[in-house]
Amino acid sequence: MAVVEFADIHKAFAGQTVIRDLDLHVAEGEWMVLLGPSGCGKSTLLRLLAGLEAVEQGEIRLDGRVVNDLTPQQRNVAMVFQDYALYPNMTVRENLAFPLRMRGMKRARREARIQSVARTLGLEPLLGRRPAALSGGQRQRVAMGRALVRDPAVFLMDEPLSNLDARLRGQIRNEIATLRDRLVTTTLYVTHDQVEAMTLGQRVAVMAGGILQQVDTPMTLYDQPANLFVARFLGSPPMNCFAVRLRGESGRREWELAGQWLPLPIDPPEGATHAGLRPEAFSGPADARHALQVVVEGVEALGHEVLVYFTDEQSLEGMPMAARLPGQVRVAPGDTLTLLPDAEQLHWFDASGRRLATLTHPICAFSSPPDQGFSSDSFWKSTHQVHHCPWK
Amino acid sequence: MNATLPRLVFTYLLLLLCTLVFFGPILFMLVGSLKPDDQVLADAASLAALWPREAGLDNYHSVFERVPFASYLASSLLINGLIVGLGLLVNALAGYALARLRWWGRETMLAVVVAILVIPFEAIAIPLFYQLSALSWRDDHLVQAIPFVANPLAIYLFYSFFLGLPRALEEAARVDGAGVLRTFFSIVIPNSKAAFASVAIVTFLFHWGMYLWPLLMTTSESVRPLPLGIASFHTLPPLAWGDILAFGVLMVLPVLVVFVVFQRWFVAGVASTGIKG
Amino acid sequence: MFPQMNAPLGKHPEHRVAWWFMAPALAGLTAFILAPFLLALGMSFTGLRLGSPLPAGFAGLENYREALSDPAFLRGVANNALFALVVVPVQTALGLALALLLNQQFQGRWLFRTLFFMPVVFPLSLVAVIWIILFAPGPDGLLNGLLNAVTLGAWTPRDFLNDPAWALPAIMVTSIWQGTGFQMVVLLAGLQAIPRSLYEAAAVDGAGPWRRFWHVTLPGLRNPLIFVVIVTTILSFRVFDQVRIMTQGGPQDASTTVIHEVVRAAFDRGQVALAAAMSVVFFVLVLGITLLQRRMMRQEGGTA
Repeated sequence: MAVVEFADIHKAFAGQTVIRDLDLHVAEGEWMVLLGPSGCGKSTLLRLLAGLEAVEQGEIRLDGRVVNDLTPQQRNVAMVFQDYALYPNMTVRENLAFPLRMRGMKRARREARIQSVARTLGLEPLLGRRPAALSGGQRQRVAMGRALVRDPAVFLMDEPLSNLDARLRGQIRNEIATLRDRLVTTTLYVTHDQVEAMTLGQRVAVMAGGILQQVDTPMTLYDQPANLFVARFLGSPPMNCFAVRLRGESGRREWELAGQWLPLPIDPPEGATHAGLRPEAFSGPADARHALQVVVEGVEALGHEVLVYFTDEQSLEGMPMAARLPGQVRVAPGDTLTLLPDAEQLHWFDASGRRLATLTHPICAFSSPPDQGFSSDSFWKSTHQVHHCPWK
Repeated sequence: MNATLPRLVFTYLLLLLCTLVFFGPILFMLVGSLKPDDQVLADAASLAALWPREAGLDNYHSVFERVPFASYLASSLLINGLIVGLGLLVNALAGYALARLRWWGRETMLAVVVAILVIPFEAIAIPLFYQLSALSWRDDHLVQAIPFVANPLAIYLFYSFFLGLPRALEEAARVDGAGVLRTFFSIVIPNSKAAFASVAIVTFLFHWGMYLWPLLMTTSESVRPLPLGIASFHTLPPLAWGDILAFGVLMVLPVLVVFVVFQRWFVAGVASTGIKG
Repeated sequence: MFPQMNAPLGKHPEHRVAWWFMAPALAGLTAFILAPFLLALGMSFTGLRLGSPLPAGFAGLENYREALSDPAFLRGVANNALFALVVVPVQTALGLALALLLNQQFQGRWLFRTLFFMPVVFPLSLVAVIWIILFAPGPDGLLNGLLNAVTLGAWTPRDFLNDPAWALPAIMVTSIWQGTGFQMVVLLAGLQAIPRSLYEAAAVDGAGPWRRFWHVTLPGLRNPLIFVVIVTTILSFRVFDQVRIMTQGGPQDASTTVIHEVVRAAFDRGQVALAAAMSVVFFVLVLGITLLQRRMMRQEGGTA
């Protein structure tokens, strides 16, 4: 178990920057999920820590020791690869034994470790088989097993579930969550899947374009996204974001949505140019005085909920607006629907996309600031900006 | 793709014709080796060329009597064993360093290997002959093998094969605590059987028929390989075609065995190297 | 240069390991290829003769002048060029045809593939001997007899290997027979690597067999074809064993080749320096052709 620190990491391939000025601190025993779209640099970060890529600028520290120039075998990290990288020439047992043999563990102890891991992961009947004779799910488990069998300083998992079908992915995700609570080891888990990030991460580091956007607990990320990218990356459908248009004086202020003016019971923060509203902030069909009339353009009836899409000229990048309604609502494209947006749940952003805090934000009052002082500072380095609740 | 009957018949006719062209001469050799010397040529223009009348193993007896066949064979096996065995190790190590390791001079070395690839052996045979004669190293088995161990073509084939190997396997091994050497022997080699087999076969085939170099470097029959044997037949009167063909069959038999046994690997190896070009 | 090679690891140990990996091969290549090559280059500027007691003085470009004015050597260069011009396309076309034939569904593919490939594993010296018999002169020769039968007696038997017009073609036939199987195996592997869905997509788009061949098969075979053409070209310039055994370059140098002239100069006549000069000329030729070929292939690939 170890503390992992990335300090001022910068990495480029053939002149192409993939990680820019990154600082990240992972606490001892913490599960940190690196989340971002493909090509955002999250896998590279993991490979830098494993020693599979050379650190050109900055420092990586394990328990305070700089490991930049150590070979992978000197770093004592265990890694689960995206396509598992099981050794095809070895049986499952030999695959599990390999890292132990490399560390010079005696045969008897080795065997005991393998048995114990095989029992945990249900691999016992497969020990004599070769990887080619395993199903996708079994291979995934063996890959996990080969990491678990060791006692590494850090676990690294590089999209370990991305090659599984949806059902198996959900199942193994739950198993990993159980595992996480049972064995406490510092872990970095790379994924592009927000469900994995939300369910597995104690904290989640969101990356985009090689830049760390925000580091926080999953719920804080969802409730207080630090910028428009995080706001729109988490949540499905994503947060509706649009250019703000306001009129009227404080107290009788109105805001525009889908071409209609609605009362705004709160004062928007200074400098707000964009706002966001999660799909679940709509209710309806409503018969209220200040309801929004929209023409339904698309409907996705999912059983437990109905997603309704409509157009707003101000929407960011012309994305359709989405509202999440109860499953029993019956609408069809072309219908006119009355929706009631909860303006108190609006998120505000300034011209550069950064979050602006509001005093009256209802959710902010319940969220606790993270207990370690790192958060998304790196992203905000250039200009000082309060992006948590102001009383923090 | 869906074979209709006429099409299938046509296919088989073509196949038969090609078989006649490509296998006919081989069959001719086999049959001829069983015939009395004078019949080999006499029958050649008739269908009897491919049909042994009065077949017998006399020619084979005669091969063993007239030339030290066993000695030629032993020399050939020893020389080729050395070339192939040492060559696999030496060239695979080099190919791996070029394909996977990061070191100063790697790109230069790769360019050198590719350039050396086009130097035909015949162009350097004479200076090499001088060079080794100056060391008075000649007329033994080693001098027929060691110069051919390091082989630019084999290095290049290994290099391109290793480039195509999934990198994650080696990375996993490194993370699991294996060093470069350990990774190479425990992970890379066991997963590169096709490359090793095809390089082994290519080098074996190539050197099995080696003629010029042994001719230059050897004088003792005891170290001479098979191809010199067949040549000595050709020049040793009386010209006994039956004996020559029998010798040929015996000479090619080991190669055929190697080829048939390793054919699957060979085809896979050729595929993986040739396709990338 | 190789961005994908931006590989691992703490540099210091790996550098040393890499050199250890490279060392044995490097030693071999240096001692047995590079050194003799440089020696040949040096020798080509001297007057060295085999068994001559005279010290070999500096001869300048004398050997090159002599080589380039030696009709036999020039004939060899021309023969090599002709050989490559005929053998490379014919052998590649045949190899492709065989590969296409074998790429169909029928019983016994394995057997036919083995049969067609078998000549490749035959040592050239043996191939040469077999074909000497097949090319035997007079009506009793197998090929003469066969041609006689096919043409219903119109064929005049001839002595192929002693006929100036036929000696080189006879060697070409021998080489093609021996080498086609190699092309076939490489191209067959290439054919099988072309995804089936491409053919299905082309068929759905209304392409007939010919268009499918032209637009799917050939582009899909690009790399194997390049590989095969380059290898065969280099080998065509190295032809020696067949010539030495079948015709000794004759009659009247009609079937001689560069390497054959090199060997003849060095071993039959003892003109080692001249032979070295020929080797250097030859190396420059082969290198030039290889580079030219690579460049052409690359350009075609760029526009295709």
